[in-house]
Amino acid sequence: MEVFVINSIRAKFTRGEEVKYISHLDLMKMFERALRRSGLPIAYSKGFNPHPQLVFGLPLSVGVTSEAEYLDLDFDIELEPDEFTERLNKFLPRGVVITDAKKKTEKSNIMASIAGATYEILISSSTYVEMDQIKNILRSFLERDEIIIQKQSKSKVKMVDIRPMIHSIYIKSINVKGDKLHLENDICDDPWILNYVEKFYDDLPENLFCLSMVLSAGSVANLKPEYLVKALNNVYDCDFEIIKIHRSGLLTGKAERFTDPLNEVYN
Amino acid sequence: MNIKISDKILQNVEKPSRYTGNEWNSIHKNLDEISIRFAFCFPDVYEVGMSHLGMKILYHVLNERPETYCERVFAPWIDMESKMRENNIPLFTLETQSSIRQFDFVGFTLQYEMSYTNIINMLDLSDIPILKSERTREHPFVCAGGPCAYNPEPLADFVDFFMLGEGEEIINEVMDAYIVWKDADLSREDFLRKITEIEGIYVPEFYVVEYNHDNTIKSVLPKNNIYPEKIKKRIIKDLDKVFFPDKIIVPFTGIVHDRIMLELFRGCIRGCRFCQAGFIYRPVRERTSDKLLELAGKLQQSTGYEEISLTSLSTSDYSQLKELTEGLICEMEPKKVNFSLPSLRIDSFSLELMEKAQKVRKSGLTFAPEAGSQRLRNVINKGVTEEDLINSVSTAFNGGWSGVKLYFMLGLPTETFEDIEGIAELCKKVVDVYMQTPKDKRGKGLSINVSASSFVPKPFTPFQWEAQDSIDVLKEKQMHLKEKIKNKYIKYSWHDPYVSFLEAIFARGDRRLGKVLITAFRKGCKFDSWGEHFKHEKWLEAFEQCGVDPHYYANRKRNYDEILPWDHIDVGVTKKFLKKESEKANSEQITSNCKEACSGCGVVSFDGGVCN
Repeated sequence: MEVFVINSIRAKFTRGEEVKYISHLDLMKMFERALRRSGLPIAYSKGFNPHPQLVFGLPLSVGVTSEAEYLDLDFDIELEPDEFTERLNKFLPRGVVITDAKKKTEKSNIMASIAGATYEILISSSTYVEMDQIKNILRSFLERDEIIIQKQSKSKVKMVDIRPMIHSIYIKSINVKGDKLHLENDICDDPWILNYVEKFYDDLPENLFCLSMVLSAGSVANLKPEYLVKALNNVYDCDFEIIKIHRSGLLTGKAERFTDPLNEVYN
Repeated sequence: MNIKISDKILQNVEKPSRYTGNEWNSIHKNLDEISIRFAFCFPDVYEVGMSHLGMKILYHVLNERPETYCERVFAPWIDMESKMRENNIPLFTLETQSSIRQFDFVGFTLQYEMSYTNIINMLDLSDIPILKSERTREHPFVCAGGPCAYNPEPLADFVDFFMLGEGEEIINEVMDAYIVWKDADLSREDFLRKITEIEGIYVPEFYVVEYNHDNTIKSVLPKNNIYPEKIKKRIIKDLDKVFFPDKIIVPFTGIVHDRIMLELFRGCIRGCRFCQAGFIYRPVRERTSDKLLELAGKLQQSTGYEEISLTSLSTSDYSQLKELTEGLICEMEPKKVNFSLPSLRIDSFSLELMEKAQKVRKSGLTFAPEAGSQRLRNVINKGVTEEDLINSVSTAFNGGWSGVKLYFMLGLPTETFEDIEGIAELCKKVVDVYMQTPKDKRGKGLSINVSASSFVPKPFTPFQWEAQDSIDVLKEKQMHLKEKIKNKYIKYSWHDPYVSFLEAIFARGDRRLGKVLITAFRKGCKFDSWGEHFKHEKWLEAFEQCGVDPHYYANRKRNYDEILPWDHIDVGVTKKFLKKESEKANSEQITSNCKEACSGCGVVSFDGGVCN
């Protein structure tokens, strides 16, 4: 019989621009050290080389920012999520902020329960292209029964149908100079993307757009946005280049009914 | 002067977090309140530089000053450098991504000679004139310190001033003088002249070197009698009282020494005759165990590190080791913090200590007999006998260890092929000890790693007058040892003798090597300590083009009365003492360590440490 874990917390955190080049392994080590600094009563594994009991959600590729990373932590004693958040945030480096935390009442671990992810990605096209053209391309893309791509794993190349892993894609315009060319719904309002565009505006290429998407993620089926853009380029002879990827959410549950990892219903 | 490094660049280089900063405990200041900006440059990659204790200390010493902002700069790796040059990105600091060209100070730490080309490359990348003579009031002062600064001459063309010795006090004195200078409308030379009043400051511009016809040095004299004839290094008399940061930067990415370094003491009582550190860091000064426990507690809390390393040149010589380690175990065990004990002499006490302190596999212990025969060990004053080694190894094997690393040097003064064969015999005895250890006690799978480096004569050692063996002789010795050592349990490795040759040249070099450094840099030499980037041929071309004979520096035996390039630097240990030690080496006599009896090295003039 498994023992029900009571002193467990699931936390949501950001990985900002400041820390986006840190590998997943280094991020884990960073949390271990931050926990030691905070003096929070983290539980240690048993055995020869005890280490803190932490489980992370889906690893993030180097260079990608996120406002919705998750981690599960076990403690020796019961701890209120608010106290946990307040105390740990004092010991985290710039760019990493715990934004929410809840008591974990189920045994499920975050790594195993991730099923989807939402991304905002900034792309540019080397040739001039209208919003409506891209809209049409996306519509036709999503009408396809299958979208086969080549996926390179460690040793072999395999053909994968990524269509079932795409749950939605929207195109948004980037209106940095305040031009009101588009309908409000079509304008990117993601602060992570907009701040980035503002900071690097002079160095960015032209014809910028933001793709907003929900994709399968996790151990069962995982689609990285890079593959999706590659598929778009292949099928429609476009040349979109990815400028920035931002993860805006991670989702648990099933594709038909994704849920928020902190147990709120997603849609 | 703020630089934006695009994602396009960072996405396409190895380990981008080398360049992005923001580590825990890194210092962020409001630039509007800053009047002195100091770029602390380590002329190697991030992982190497961040492992260096001196940089950690001085970074915080400078940042304790409200008007000063010290930021870190490392040598960009080859891939990053080429992208920086392609995109006209100058060398930048990690803290604020600022170009260092408009800084007030650019300071280099000189840890090994093989980093000199990186210094020139970093200045070039910063768009700061490489030659000090071409700098104007709009440029930073380029300064340097660290162990290699004790022979500053090869860098005399590039560095405005050197800080000799331990930096905690002198660096503050220089900053104080700078504030006064900056407010007055004075020349660069005025500032440099002013700081020569500070003990430990060496401004090479103010000294003239003259040469004899045979290329030896005729004289090194101050241009004006207001400058000191001899520049005396600085030491901190009381380590308990000096500033030691209670927080240090915790890197994200794995660095070479990714742990708290707790500095037990400075200096070494031993006086091994080949070891520069054993002389230049004298006298021995300890921190008390109470102070160390206090520091360890604070550092652990502020960093969250899982390991503390007790650092010093010879940890077993620390007089309060028992109190310290007991205290550490008591305090750190509940926090799941380990501690490691490098440079420990192996006996039953230390093995027991290691078992308590470290959760490591019992695979590797390191021993450094340095030479293969008792005769040669006496020559180098390495106070270790074969019996000591065998006893230590036996204790280790009986305690469950199964692997040892043995360090030796080839090319030591007076060495014969018999001495070299002694190394092989010693190694085989270690195998025998393992075989004689009961099976239930020893660990499984014996492995002995023998590493042989090439001896490099260094300034301020009794061997400073010695010739280094030629590359051919070193190679022959390495091959001879390889032949003799054949044994399935022993893995033998050796250092590249070409690198040791270059190290020997610059270690005892003079001002005439400046042009060779620039020429080699122009030919693409950098990261010379990284095997894959070391370009021996290019270096030989550079010497040839500059008309400088490298063998004159590396392979020539000097007379005792020759003026050496570093004779105007005073590290406390006298030339007279070094000469006496050199003569004792030749007659195979040993010298007692500082705790047994004073050997009269001269450092007593510093009025501190074990001498008193």
